[in-house]
Amino acid sequence: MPLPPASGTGKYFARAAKSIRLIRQGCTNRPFFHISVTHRRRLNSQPVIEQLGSYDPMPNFNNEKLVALNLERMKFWLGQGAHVTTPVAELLGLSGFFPIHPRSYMTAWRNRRTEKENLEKQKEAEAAEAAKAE
Amino acid sequence: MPPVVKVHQPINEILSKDPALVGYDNTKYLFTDITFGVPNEHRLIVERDPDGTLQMSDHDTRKRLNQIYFPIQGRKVREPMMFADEEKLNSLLEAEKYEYILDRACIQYEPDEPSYQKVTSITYQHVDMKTNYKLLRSTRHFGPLAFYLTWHQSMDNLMLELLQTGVIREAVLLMGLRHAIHEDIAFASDLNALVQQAMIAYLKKSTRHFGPLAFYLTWHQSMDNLMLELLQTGVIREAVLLMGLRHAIHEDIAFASDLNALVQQVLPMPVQASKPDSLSEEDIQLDNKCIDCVVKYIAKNSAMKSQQELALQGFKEDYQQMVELSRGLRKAHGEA
Repeated sequence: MPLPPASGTGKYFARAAKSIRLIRQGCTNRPFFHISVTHRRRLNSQPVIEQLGSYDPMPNFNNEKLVALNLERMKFWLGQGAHVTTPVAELLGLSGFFPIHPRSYMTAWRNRRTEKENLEKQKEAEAAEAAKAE
Repeated sequence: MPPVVKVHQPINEILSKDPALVGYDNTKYLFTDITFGVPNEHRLIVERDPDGTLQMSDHDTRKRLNQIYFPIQGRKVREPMMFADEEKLNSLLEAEKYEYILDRACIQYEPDEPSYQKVTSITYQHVDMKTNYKLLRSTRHFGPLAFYLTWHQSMDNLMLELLQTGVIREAVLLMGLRHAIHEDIAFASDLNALVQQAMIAYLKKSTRHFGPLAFYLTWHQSMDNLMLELLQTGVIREAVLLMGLRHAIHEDIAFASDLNALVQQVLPMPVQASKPDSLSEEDIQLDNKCIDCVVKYIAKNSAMKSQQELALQGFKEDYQQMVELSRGLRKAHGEA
């Protein structure tokens, strides 16, 4: 099946609420997302109004995640009053286009906390082993 | 011709630092603005590092991402083996496939990349060492080769080759290039005159470049060679137009009102490329005015008085003959 054009094939209703969201396009075990604008009440499997970018969540050869954003069209749809879902808002925040999303900060400090706890556990286990050896 | 430019500076522009993002992810995020119609060199490409720094990407990353989202045909995302592996490049050089290497380098790299300059300079040095200039002659790489050799003061092999093949004008142009870059030639004024003559002879063949040449020479107050050449070819009206150009640029001609009137008369006429075949009475009048004007110019403004006077004298005699001939012809045909 040929890919639909980036301008989208979905029906467009001017007064219906729009949303900019991630739409999963990869296959099994290989996620890949399009950043698309579509009607808010439409399913992700239905045709979209326009594709605005892409997001590859699997790190590549150089340990990088690639995000493409068509900022001009993004601005247009934001001006039309489109809603932005949290994952997209997080990406836009990381890119410096939006302020950093609060959820990004939450993820960051939760990860830091887990890492700290893991380190402490490891230290305790080492101390216990050392005590046993004595 | 691929341009010869300086190596670019690295990009170190930090947009923001956010230590609160440490631990969000242990990979880098690369964001590319794929807005339609933005050229590759102006495309916005930023990266968010694992330590929370947001910065503009460096040239390598930019090139890779541009190639991923807007591919150029023939360019590879990873460096081809023939450039990455020195042995492979050497074997190509030994096989004398210079044009192939340089063409591929042109596609794979931008001209301001360090790797491009490295590959091309290795190739040029090899060409110079083996004196294989004929393999690059009449290709787009010959100009950069000559420039490279002159820039690094090692154009003597090339000069020898030019002299052996007997293209003396090319040798003069090479000397002119050397003087333009290093200014180390003692007989510079002679050389410049010669270079100008060689350039005029070269560019007169292509009318497309003639206008810019005339403007360049006039701008730098060195159009007397061109003037001499015009007088020797016998196109007096073009000489008047050249004077008009000089006055328009420098405003240093005393008899400006006469000149301007004359230029206005000459401009609507078709361009004279060589001597005309027959002359009408109006032509003769106009040409006489032109001759007067040129005489005044030579007396007051010219830097090569004697030579131009000689050329004008020759032109006058020639012209007189032509006038008599065409008048006689008209009489003979009975349409006077």
